Amino acid sequence: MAIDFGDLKVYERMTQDPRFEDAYQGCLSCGTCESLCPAGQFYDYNPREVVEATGRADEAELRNWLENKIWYCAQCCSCKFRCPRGNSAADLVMILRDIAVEKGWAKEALEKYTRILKTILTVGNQLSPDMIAPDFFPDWGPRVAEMSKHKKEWRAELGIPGLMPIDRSWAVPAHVIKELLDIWKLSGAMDRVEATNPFLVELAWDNIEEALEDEKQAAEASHT
Amino acid sequence: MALAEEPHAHSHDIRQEMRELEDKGEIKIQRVVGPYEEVEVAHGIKKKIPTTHLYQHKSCGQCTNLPGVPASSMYVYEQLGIDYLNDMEHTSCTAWNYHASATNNLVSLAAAAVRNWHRVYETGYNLDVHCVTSFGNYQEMRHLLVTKKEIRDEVRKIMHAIGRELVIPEEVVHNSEVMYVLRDQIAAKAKYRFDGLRAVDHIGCHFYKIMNDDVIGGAKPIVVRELGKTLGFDVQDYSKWFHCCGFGFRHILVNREFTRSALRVKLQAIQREVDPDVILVNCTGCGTTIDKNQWIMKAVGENYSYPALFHSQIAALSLGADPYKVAGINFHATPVEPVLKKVGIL
Ligand code: SF4
Ligand code: SF4
Repeated sequence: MAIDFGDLKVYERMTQDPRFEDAYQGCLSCGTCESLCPAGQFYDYNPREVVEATGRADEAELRNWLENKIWYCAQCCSCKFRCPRGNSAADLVMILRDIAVEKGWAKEALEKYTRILKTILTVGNQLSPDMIAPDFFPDWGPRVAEMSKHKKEWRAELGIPGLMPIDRSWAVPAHVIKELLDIWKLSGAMDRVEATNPFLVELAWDNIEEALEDEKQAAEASHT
Repeated sequence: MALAEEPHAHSHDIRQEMRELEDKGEIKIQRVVGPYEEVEVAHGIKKKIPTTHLYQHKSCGQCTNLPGVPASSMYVYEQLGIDYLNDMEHTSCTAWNYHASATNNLVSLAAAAVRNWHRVYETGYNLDVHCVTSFGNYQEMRHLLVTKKEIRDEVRKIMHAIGRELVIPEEVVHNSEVMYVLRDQIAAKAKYRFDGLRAVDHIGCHFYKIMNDDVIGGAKPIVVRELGKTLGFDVQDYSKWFHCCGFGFRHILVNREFTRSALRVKLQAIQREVDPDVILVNCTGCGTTIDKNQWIMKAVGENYSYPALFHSQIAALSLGADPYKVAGINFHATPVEPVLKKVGIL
């Protein structure tokens, strides 16, 4: 789906990002980043091109990246580490991804991210044991299927306080999750969720209200 | 290589800049509490690695996929009589989601970091980060908060709104760095050694490629291999040590064919050049990727079965930890049992 860029000047918007001055410092076109980029090994993708396009303020090429290529990057930062000029294609890609999400142009790329977002906004973790289901990870083999079956008892056997729940990675309490939600609201991150998954915002606030109430009742009960 | 080892424009002595900001009243520094060991990182800077009062900043990926990794960390500290805190009041760092989807913005990422740092500060413990994604993110967020006033000001405002302060830890420390400085203590008390086992190591990219000036060993991190060697492993070099494991943040979930293809490049080199007993790791994403994606390589007619063992797991196992009830090897997709049988642990 082609993006309607309107009057957005991609290059100008990139230069406003606080990371920009570190991420672009002039390119030698030496090809170091290109030669070690894992994404370039398997996709039509070359980190040198995004750095060079930035150097030329090449609006058409930057738009081209924004439309699709940015989602191929593995964010390994190998390019940043080895670039003799200290450029970071990894960060230029993140700046472009930021723009794409902020503008609501990343719906397709984010399609399968709803569950992760929901987990963050409801339990304060990015993952939970109940997400590791064999039907979603058949390629992980028979031992993962076995693990999924026994996850509760095996976790209990480890006996680590806070690691028993299977709906979150550890037992993050409700008042802590509320702080994270406030951070997302105050920083504008919640507006991004609104742009891609509006129903999640309502779900998150409803959920936290209930969880805080449960927490309060549990605290009262333990006092009496 | 020579060029890569030179400091980047974005590498600098962050500690000095933090002290200057503290003098101006802009930030508060959480200083290392209790005994520590100083280890040299870039530019002759000494990094303080605390050896007690360790706040276990857990990893959501580890606690979900390989919970024996955090359990092993806590076991090692118990065996060595080291004080630690397994607190529930920190959230995930949210950097996995950021690098995968960018749905949380930069300011929210920095504010989530500071909220967790402030929580660590109020407990009076030292930050001991289990996850390499969190570690790399916290190093980057510290760099941005110190060098970019606009981010600092926005995050300070958010912290005040939620009743907290802009606190930055003097040292961002990874669990594998702590195990590295404790390696001789661990070896002295070891019930088992790994002599005779061949290993390679794979260090998480975000351990050293995001911020390259705060890494023990410089351009080629040594923490895992030196711990491994001290415990008896014969740790060998291989050509693709720098190559990304394929985790890719978003790729492990939505572009799985990329994850498998990139990992295959690494596994092929490891098999051809070393064919080790184990792959030693310190990163949640890499450990998961390497552990979970070997079985499927049968589909292209290649057989791999190299257990991915974390720094904390080898330390705990050498100290006599139960392989299942502490090291959690039952959670591994690539069987660990054959290797433990070789050294008499099983
Ligand atoms: S490594 Fe740096 S200087 Fe060389 S092509 Fe890539 S961005 Fe340009
Ligand atoms: S961060 Fe992205 S662009 Fe850079 S080397 Fe890794 S995959 Fe390539």
